[in-house]
Amino acid sequence: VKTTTTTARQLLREGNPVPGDAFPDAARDPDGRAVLTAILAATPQAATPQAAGRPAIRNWKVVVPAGAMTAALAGLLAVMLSASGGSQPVVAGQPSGFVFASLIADRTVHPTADREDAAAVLRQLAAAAARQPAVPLGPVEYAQVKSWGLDLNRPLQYDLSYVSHETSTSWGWMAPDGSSMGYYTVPGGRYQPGTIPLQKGAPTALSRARFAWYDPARLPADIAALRRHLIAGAPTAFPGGTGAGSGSGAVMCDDKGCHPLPVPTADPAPDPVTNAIVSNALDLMTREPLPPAVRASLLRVLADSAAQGRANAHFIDMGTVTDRAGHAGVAIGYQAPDISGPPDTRSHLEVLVFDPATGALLGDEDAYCTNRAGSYPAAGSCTPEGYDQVLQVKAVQAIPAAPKLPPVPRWTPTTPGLTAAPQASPPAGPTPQLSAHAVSNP
Amino acid sequence: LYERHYGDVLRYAARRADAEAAAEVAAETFLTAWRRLDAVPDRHPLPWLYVTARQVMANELRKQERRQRLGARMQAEAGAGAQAGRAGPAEPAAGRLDVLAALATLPANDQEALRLTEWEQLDHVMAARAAGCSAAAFKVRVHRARRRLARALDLQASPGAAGKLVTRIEVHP
Repeated sequence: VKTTTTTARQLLREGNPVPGDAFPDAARDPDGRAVLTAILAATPQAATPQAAGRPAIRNWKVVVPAGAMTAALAGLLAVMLSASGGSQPVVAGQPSGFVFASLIADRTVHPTADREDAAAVLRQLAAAAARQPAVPLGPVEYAQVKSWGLDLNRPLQYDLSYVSHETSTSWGWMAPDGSSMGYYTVPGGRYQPGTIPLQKGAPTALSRARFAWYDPARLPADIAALRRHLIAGAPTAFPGGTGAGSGSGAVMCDDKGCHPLPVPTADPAPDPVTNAIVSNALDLMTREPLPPAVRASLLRVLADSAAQGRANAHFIDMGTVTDRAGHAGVAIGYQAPDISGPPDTRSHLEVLVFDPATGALLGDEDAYCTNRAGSYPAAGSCTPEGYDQVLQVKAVQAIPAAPKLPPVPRWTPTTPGLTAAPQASPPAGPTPQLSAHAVSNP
Repeated sequence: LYERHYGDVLRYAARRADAEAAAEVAAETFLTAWRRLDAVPDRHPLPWLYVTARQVMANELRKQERRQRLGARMQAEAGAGAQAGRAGPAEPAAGRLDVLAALATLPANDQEALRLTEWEQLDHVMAARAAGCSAAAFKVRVHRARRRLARALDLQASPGAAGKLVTRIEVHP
């Protein structure tokens, strides 16, 4: 029996994950009123590219948490609001003993650099990578990464370290059958400080397909093929990227006709091809044990992108740096238009730090900058927002047994005294230095 | 505006993201409205709010992909159900998986057209505004989408196809 459109409609209505009568008093309940109060406290203003950004969201963020957390958060927010662009802002009321990260490459700027410099550095790194000995590639991939992030600009992603001035370390294993296991320390934010959320993934068709995209043994070393692979990206459940109705949101029509959508978007827009290449190359280099030829080709793809000089996709030779773990490195910046950071943000800067001897990625950090994409970021013009420091990437024989972890207490807006909460015990197993509350600024 | 439509926007977001994220999206949508009050249509503001909510979600998900790659990938592999402690929409009943899986196979514009009409219960004129096209174009789109959904449900019933379809909804952002 063929399905009729009427039947399909009925099934779809029954499949509605949120009934029409859900949240009947959402606007009037305490959470809803708190959000409204915070929104009204923000200044309504005419749209400008900068004003249409997202600074005011921080105001309502302040309202949501309670107690000590609010005070700590307010301090952090004050930093971002009052000192965006400062490389090491100092704030009254800030807990002693830490400062915010400065952009790692700030101290070694050389503003005369042009894109050919970046391409030349990337080609040198490619040559160094090609000279390295082969490494085991499987069967299981293992990566340990230390991360820091302010996360003020990602309200959907602040379960890791929203209020954190501390670092988090994650341990992850991926197997060819699509299974995975990982856990990470949590310094604050959505969970009680010191808890260690555990994630386990069972094999599925999608996870196997995703593993295949990342599989270092199957990555092409041919530059053109690898470039296509990067642009295509890993398979997701939602082709097109967002699953949120992508593709029809740029224009909005009302009674008076159709107009550009008045929500935060960068103008000019980032180059999607270069964004995909940089993002996916970074993804592979952060977490895969790569054959030397593939690593070299990845760096050559980046070098070609740098040399191309596409509009709104700028590569910058940022000179020599010392990375967050104290290693000597060379830094390449990738800068694209983006106004979604702190006030006055005009561009987003991704700084990739490489080991000049091997071409391996040591880490990356992202920052929002007050200069336009294409103009060299002066010292202090960028506010770092987060970084990943690669601690270890290698192949192992199997995913280890999952550690026994206590249940993860989740923070909610009504959870008082977050910082005074009891801390979880670190898991037994192959996780050195799982201190419950990692300290200090990155 | 807030009292009348906050619940609508919250439901719209919760149908496309987990409950926690939905609250963030709804709040940011109304913040945008507050900051761009002159752009919000006096009559029928709901489509404007839906478009804004959709764009807020797209922006956030784009940035989410860019950062915390390790965590993001682990989360994706682990699937939505394995995210410790995270509040999300209720796990779909087995029967609902079929239609949601079939929906997920349609082009993004078709999916949104069906959600706007069947879940958000907008009429064609309002839904067209939310979709950013003319009412005539939307009418064509939604009719086509219904046919495609019916075909996808039939395909799902055929041996060998169901597994492929279901994999499309294993991970929800």
